[in-house]
Amino acid sequence: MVCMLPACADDASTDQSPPTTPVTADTGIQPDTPAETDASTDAGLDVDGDAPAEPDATEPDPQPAACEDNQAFFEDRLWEELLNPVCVACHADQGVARDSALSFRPSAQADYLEANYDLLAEVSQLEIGGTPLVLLKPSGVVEHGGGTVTPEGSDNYALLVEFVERLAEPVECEDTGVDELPGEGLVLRSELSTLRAATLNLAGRLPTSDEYRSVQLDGADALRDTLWGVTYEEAFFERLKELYNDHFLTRRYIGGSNGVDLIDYARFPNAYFYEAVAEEDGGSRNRWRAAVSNAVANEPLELVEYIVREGRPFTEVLTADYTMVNGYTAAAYGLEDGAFELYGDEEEAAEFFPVQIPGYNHAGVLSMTAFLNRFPTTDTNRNRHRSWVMFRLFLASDILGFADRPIDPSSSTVHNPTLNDPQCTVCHTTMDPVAGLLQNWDARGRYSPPEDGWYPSLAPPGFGDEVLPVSERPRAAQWLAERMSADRRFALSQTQLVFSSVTGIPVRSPVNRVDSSEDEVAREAYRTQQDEFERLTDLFVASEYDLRVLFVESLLSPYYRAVGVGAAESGGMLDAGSARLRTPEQLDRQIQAVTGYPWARGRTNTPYLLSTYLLLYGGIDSNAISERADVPSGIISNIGLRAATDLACTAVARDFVLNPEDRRLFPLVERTYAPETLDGFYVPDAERAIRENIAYLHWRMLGEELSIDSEEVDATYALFEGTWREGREKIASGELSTSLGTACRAISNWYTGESISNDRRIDTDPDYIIRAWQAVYAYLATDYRFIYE
Amino acid sequence: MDRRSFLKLAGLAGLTVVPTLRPRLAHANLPPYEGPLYITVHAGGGWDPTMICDPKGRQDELEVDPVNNFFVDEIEEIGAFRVAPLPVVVEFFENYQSELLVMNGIDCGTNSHQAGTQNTWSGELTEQIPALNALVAGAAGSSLPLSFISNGGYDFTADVVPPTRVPDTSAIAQIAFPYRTSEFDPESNLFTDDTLARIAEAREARHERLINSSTLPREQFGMNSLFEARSGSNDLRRLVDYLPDQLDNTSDLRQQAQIAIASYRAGLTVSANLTTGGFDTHGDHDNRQTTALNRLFDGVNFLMQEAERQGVADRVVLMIGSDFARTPYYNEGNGKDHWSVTSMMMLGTGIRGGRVIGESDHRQGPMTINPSTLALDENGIRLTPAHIHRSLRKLAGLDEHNLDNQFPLAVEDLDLLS
Repeated sequence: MVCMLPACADDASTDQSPPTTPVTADTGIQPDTPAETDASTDAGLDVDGDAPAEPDATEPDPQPAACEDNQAFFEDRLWEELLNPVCVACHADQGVARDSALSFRPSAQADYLEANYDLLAEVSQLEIGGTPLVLLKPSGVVEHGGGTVTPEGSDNYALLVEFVERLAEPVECEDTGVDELPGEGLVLRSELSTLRAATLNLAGRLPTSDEYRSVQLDGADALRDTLWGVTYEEAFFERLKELYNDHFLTRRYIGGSNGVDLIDYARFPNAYFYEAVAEEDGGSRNRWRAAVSNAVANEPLELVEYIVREGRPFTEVLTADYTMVNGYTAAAYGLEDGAFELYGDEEEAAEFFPVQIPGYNHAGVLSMTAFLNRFPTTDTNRNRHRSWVMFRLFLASDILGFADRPIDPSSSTVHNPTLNDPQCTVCHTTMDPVAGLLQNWDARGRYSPPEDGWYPSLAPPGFGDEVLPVSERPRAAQWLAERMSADRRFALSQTQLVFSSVTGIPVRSPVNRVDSSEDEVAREAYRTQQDEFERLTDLFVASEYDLRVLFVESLLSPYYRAVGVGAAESGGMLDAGSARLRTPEQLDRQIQAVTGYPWARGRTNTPYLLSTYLLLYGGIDSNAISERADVPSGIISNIGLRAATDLACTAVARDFVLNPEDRRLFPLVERTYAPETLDGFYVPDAERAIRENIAYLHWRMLGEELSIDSEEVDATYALFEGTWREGREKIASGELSTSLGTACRAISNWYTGESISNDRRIDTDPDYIIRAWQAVYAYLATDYRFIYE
Repeated sequence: MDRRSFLKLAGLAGLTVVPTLRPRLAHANLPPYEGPLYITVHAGGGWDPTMICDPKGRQDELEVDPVNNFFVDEIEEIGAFRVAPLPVVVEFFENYQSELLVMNGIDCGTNSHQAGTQNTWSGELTEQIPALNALVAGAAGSSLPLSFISNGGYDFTADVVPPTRVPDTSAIAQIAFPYRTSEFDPESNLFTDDTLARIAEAREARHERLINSSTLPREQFGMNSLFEARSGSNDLRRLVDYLPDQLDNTSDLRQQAQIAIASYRAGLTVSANLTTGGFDTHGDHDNRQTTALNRLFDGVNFLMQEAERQGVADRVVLMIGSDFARTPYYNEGNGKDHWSVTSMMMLGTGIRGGRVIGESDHRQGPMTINPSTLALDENGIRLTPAHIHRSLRKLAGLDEHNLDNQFPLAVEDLDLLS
């Protein structure tokens, strides 16, 4: 009898050994909390039946009224009911009241509600005869350009009165000290299932038996600790860089002279050091040229890795007073320490390390040539595109979203429209000062302060209300980095970036107008997501900007762990559930994790999903294609089918060659196990073992926790049995051969090429069992839960 | 909240805008698409219509701050068109003067690359309305494996159809026959036909079980998307029959054209975005813009020749546009910056050619047209991308499709194309 419990696992199990797994209904796996339920698919989810009884309408609500502090009152009542629907049309950067003291910030700015609270609070200090103008003007008591919009005695007037009163006597609510998790009514993955999914997500591997056992014994704390440990693995750092490249896109410059040509040759005359190689040694020259390019392209991503690996505050992505080089770029930059010497140790030269380049004004990625070139500027663009990128990547704000109306350049009659025309200033007042802070870096990413100073026709360089002091001009980018990284929006931006990247759940846009029930639903979903971002951001800041926190906590979030909706869910968690089409990189890692083999033509070839099929499967090249596909096409579907076919052909027989304890796919059966004997006698032990292995495969490949008599195992068993019977009959009739196809035989070790001894090799399949398992593998490897996360 | 109510809420939030399930087609090869092929060619970066179909020349060498360096008397007149004196442009107009419809003086309302590209190919400044090519593909054949081929430009789909990126043909051949262990050997299927049918049946039953037990809108969307994508995947092999052995390597645009035409010829494609760049000429405008125009018109000419060769030229609807236009003056670097009054060109089935609609003034300001006669009219309206897209949607029959209601364009209905 095979022990199925993780706790029974062999202590000698290694990362690649098949973990024992909870596959039976009586394995003792219990929900972690009352809110959690196992993600059993066989039982069917009947949340309708769990609906609580309707409350008795005559009973008083036993819950005391929830405390609503000033900011909550402003956001939930005043902004939603009055300011946004009534006032913003005029009191905004493009509105007719834009020049008044009250001009609200647009929702595309990440902290717009906090900023607008502060603005209204400030304006509320203006009084006539002891009465605030914010009451007198909209009620028509004193002249108001918009007329009387909140007459005294109206509900909206009462809202304004309450706001003013609250300013005098602020309402503060008791801090429970505990951030509430969203999604009270959700059905969550079990902790073991979360461990499996999150480990695959972070490091592209399945958990070890020890990790399963630890989480099963010690629950949530062990789950968090285990995932934290995963973030120290090399595979995680590759994932980290892959994720950040989706946003930085600097790998565009990998290969050839793409990266080396970005280097400021006037400043670094050793950039082309490899050209000193003998003329006839073109191979070395090309290899080292590409190595320099790769190092330049990866410089920003290596900084990200270094900061996280060393546990440094992630604000250094902007403020680092150093850069990352390896031996090749150390040579190109003319550095003495660590520089590669021609025909030196290439492996050692590929190692990155931090360094301060003498006289270089380092400002994290902001001063890196690959980053600056990837987001270029021109003489007329004047760093505005770069400014937009700064706000989008590091301040969670889309400046272009500030303007919600089309512009009409031909109608502009004012002098210097970007400074004076409201339809332009709505974006440019925010964009241009930050653009000015990047003035010292030219279109090619070279440090080259403008000889005649920054453009006087533009708004002066600055950030927020602060103007760049003249003395700080030479280090304007550092000055910007210090302020951006200290801004709460920086932490929020990285929260959103990591959360959306690891969970696949997109960041929602604010809902400015609520004209319909659709808008109300979308607004609720937006608010719930914002609350979760705030919770995660708090954790991130409290950790002193340790980016690992965001990875682990995003994957522990109910958003990621949700597998169903329960009776108590109010509707705010519409985005719950990862449900993300795996990227080609993720699918590649999963195939290897599950089968033990990469999907590649040969062991020296780059896997298909990272080469031939990278773009076809919706990946990016960081250049022309910079956004990943999130919906499968017919081609993506076909690639999935081909991957399943290829691995069914090659991995099944290879797995059976191994000893059972070393197998990844078939540890619970032998290739002689058939439902019946040749004489047609039913073999119940064989069927049970086959069912156990099928349940095991459902867990290993799809993360499903099933009993061996579940509906899903029944269906997969039927596929196995049907294929086996078909094959047996066709072999008997001579229609099919007992030989396996050449490509599907296991006659040599795929990794070493060593021949497998005759007594172990598999090149025939006389009972059609190998091929029946191939069908099962292909069925599961094309399943939604294999293709999607 | 019960499952039904939750999903209803999700529907209200637009979360269940999923491809329509067509379970009956799951095992069947879809019939080849034979309607019109909609092709957009995007001149990336912002072209200069005054060097193409809305020419502005300088009066003489003394003119200060001219729109262009060529002279007024160099402007060519070809049929109904006034054409800038660039050989590649002149050749194109000479070839297609009877089929071509030019619209000048289009107010695209932005100087932003992203917003301009969106507006040109959807009729809306913000990313809310799917690209026209996404809508026509979604309406006519969202199940086709290459229904909407995108090579960039604006390909926002609002999930009405998945876009497909096709970089080369060799990979297509390998995945067209996913069950073969050797892609060129028809006898090398890993599974028997009976086994394949058994797997497909099990897969479909599994899908039904999953979708019926799922309570999460995003999960349901993913399940349906995968199911829908898979329903047409076997048809991919038809493409192999129509692809040339070797793609033309003269330019990316030529390769894009070959794949689009071959895929349409195979009945797999409804629409395709073709793109070429190099038009963002903030410096050295004349030389760089001319280079980019040469590449653009070379590709367009090649596209039409390829359509002729494959016998489908009479079913092509071709639209050519850009992010926006260039300023009617040069900057200090002999470049031209962004300008929002632009032009578009189109030809093909259902489009009455040999005409110019709209005009810009001598400094490329928009002029208004009469919404009924389309003639210049001081009291008329400005022509915008939204007007053009409303007409294009009518041409494609979308005006009677629910996608038109789902993504409305709130502008006057002008009879621009017929």
